[in-house]
Amino acid sequence: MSIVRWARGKSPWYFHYETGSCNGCAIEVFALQTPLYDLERFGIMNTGNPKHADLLLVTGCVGYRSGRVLRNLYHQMPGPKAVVAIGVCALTGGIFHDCYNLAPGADKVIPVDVYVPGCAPWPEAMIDGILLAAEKLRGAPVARDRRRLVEEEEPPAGGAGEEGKA
Amino acid sequence: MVILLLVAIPLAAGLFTLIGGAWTRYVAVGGAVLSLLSGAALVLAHGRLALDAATLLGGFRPGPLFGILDALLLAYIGLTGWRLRHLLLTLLALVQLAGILYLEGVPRPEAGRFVVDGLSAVMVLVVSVVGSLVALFSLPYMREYERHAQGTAGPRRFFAVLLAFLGLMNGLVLADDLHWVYFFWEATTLASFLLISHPQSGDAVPNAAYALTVNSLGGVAFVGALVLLAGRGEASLEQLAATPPAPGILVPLGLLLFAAFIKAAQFPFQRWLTAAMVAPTPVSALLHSSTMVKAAVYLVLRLAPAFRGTPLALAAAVYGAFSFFAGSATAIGQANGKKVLAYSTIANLGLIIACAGVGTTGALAAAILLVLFHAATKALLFLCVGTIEHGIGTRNIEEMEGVMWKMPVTTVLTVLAMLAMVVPPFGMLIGKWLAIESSVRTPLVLAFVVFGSAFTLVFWSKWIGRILTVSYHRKFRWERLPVLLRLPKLLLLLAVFSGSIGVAPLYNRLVRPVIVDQFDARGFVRTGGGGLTTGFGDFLPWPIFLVILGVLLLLLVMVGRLEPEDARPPYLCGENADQKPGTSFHTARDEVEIAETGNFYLESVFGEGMVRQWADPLALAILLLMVGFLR
Amino acid sequence: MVYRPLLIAFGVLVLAPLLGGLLTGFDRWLSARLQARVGPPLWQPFADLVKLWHKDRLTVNVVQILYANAYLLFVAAALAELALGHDLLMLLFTLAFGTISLVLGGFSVRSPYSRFGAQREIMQLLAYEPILVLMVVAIYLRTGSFLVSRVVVFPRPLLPSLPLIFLGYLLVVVIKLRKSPFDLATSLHHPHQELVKGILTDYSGPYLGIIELAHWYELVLLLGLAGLFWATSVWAAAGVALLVYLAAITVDNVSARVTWAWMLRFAWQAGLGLAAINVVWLYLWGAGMP
Repeated sequence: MSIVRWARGKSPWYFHYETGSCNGCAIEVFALQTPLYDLERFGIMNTGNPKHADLLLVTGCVGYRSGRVLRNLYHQMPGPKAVVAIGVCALTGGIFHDCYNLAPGADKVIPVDVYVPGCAPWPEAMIDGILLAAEKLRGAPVARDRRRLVEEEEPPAGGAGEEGKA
Repeated sequence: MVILLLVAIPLAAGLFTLIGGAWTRYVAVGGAVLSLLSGAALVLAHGRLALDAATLLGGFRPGPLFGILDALLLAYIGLTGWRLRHLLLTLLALVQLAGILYLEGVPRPEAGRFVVDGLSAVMVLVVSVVGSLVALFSLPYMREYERHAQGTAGPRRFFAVLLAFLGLMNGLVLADDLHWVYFFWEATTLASFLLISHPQSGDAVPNAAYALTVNSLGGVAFVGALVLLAGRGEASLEQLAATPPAPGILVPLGLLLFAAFIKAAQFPFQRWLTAAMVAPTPVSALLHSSTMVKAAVYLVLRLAPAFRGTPLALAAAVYGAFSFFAGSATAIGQANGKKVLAYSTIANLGLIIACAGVGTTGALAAAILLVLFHAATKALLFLCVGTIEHGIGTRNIEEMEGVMWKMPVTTVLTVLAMLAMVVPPFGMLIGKWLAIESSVRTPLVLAFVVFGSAFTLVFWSKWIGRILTVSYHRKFRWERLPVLLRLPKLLLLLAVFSGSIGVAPLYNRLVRPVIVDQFDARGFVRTGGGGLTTGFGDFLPWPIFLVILGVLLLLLVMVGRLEPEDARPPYLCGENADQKPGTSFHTARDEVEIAETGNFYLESVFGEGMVRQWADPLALAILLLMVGFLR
Repeated sequence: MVYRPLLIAFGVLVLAPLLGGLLTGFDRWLSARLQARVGPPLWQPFADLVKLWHKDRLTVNVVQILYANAYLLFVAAALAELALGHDLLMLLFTLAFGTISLVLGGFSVRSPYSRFGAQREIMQLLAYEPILVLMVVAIYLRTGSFLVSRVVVFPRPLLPSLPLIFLGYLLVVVIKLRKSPFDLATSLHHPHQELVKGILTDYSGPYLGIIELAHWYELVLLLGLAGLFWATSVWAAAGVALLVYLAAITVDNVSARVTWAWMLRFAWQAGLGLAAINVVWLYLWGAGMP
């Protein structure tokens, strides 16, 4: 089923959720659509809807309410799916690390596959992270009972994933 | 024999229910149904029949009898008007009475016979089959109805009038003597009054009186036509239709058409039909969608050869098409389910009248197909909406959401019936297709029909969308309903489906005879390949049925692969709450609320009052123009 | 010979997705170039479809699946009718059945986004359906037949006698392909989108793939209908179809989204007005047209 793997790697649509921050990372994510960076040349599209998405891009520090939303959105995405956390706030909480109202990192709420550090990360770094996540989609099992396989493999929330390099 | 089965026995059954308890109703309905169905079968088996009443009754000529009956009927209507302080009604009844008495005074010809031909066979079929099924449906429905409603006129009167109405209706479509037609015409109007006023409370009696008044106006026009025709020595409907247009004949024809327009509730008289929706559902299904209002288009179709090619025909075509347009437009603005059905009925009657006015063989075929399919489909829809109303206690479309979960079988039936109104390959669309292709040479008619069709798509799809909204359920539990509430609906649906698939044999058996009767030619519509072809167009229903079958098979395959954990709530920005999954969400203040979305009704454009502002004057203007064409 | 129509229908239904996919890829490539971007490769839509088809089957309710299937099959049936040379009016009705299925799919979930998308889709239907019927009527007035098989053998091209209808049809194509400025019910392949994804919000995975496939069929059908305007030679028909497509893509890239009320007014005033004038011409001077 190499054609399925090929297609998954070539057509990752992403959904971007900004959990609440300075919007610096969010602005840079939007920049990915511009002619300079043009994500669409990789077949990557922005969708406004988790139900159509393969990748979830998380920026900002995850508060307890936005964490609930994040969990819901992740739940509504059909598998195979991957999560890219962008910016130090989404990775660890950043300078807000010890705030009483925040989870220290998106991976405390949903499983994160690729971490892109930076404040804010360069768009090139984000592209690199997204393509890493696409590689991960390509590796997802194709078999019919894939869902069960994934459940066994899936790391528990907060587990380690691949590290994106900046 | 035919007359006995179709007219006399239902009338007698109606009288029989007056005797007493519930068992008489079951016996009477059963007897009437048997007699009607066998009568209809007999009519279909025979070709053309002319039955002289005098020979049937052993030499007795029933002419004066009808005069007496007319007088009694009108006296009753007049007294009703007096009792209800509806003096206009009394006045109209008195005018008609004067006309009838005048007719009794002058020597006049008598046709004195019943005629069974293609057109009356179609109508007998509609009346007998739909009528029987609705009468059966009424038995359990009215028991339930009487339990909830207070102060009704009682089931005894209801069933007596209902069964008698079926007999009268058959008499109306079989009678050839214009005078008799008039009697049956007025009698069905009175039956309509008695059935609308059945609830006896709220708006029922005033609305019924209003309907009776408006229809009496049509009755006056009818009597006027009778008086004029008596002067010309015309008495037979068949001869009148066969007479080539002669000077002076157009005035009585115009009066008859006017009477028909009122009975078909065309604009600007449409309000009596929407007001009549207070009646119990079987009444709406039977009188106000499938049979009594069809008597009006029957008269127009019957007279079509007489005014074909005259300016009157063109005016009637434009008038009918305009009613189709305006009726469909008004239906967009209605949230009351029965009102949507009523306006859709008005619209479709208008379309049939337009076809009769266009008057080619194709248009006539379209009109007959529309009569047949509209009767079955609309009766089915009324029965379904009535059942839904009993089930969830409302006829408001906005509140019908979730009915799929409460009564899945009824909902599926309703949706199928609605689809049968608007999409191919069902009969209504075959009729509409033929109507459009036939009216291509009459631009104004075409324009109205095209817009009207687009509106039709809008209001039906809105309604279907609303009742089919469902959350994820693994299994649906079928609701339990008495057999008699379910069986008539299934049979009607079966009739619509089989008629649509087998449109070719249906056309050969029922529609072609009418065309041969009226044109002495077979017309340009042919059957071939399992559908209809016209030489410049074709309509094949069966491939589309295959596609529908394909959709269902694919669905079965795909649903089989689904598992309960595949269900997800709808997208609500990720703020979905756990209470009532699927509709509830957290607001900005972190409270749980239910997401609700209403339909577009565009009341500022398509509201009843808004449409009437322009539609009533325009329709009246077309009618007045028609007066100009009468010379 | 009995099997010939079946073979034709089968061939068209197999080839149309290939063509539709390539055309969609071309659209995305060209749009990207117009925006000074590199853009996706031509085969991008096929990768999207295969990917969607192999995603998890998540659904909100069961009837959603029914509507997605009905949309696909009815649009495909309409295309088959075109290929087999059947009645144009019946083709429109079949296509309308497909569109209504999509509308019902939007209505069937309790999400405000799909509901609004569905309402707007109805408004779109209201906007373009009369224009399409008038177009068919005009073709009849010109050629004397509603049958595609007769229209294509009409000895003269239709475009010179139906120029205004052609403009109206262009409007219909832009609305029907969900191009800006009329991408209000849902939008395809735009990074910017209305109402999350409008009528398609709650479809996902394979079901979204089914709808995508139906869009390809619809694209081929609409361009095929455009080809009818110059059906005297295959190349001319293909040229007209391509021109229509290029025009739609251009309009898409130079305009911003409008409201449904604006769309309805514009479609009825401009589109219907043009179509009606053309039909009146045909009534008056039908015989003497070039």
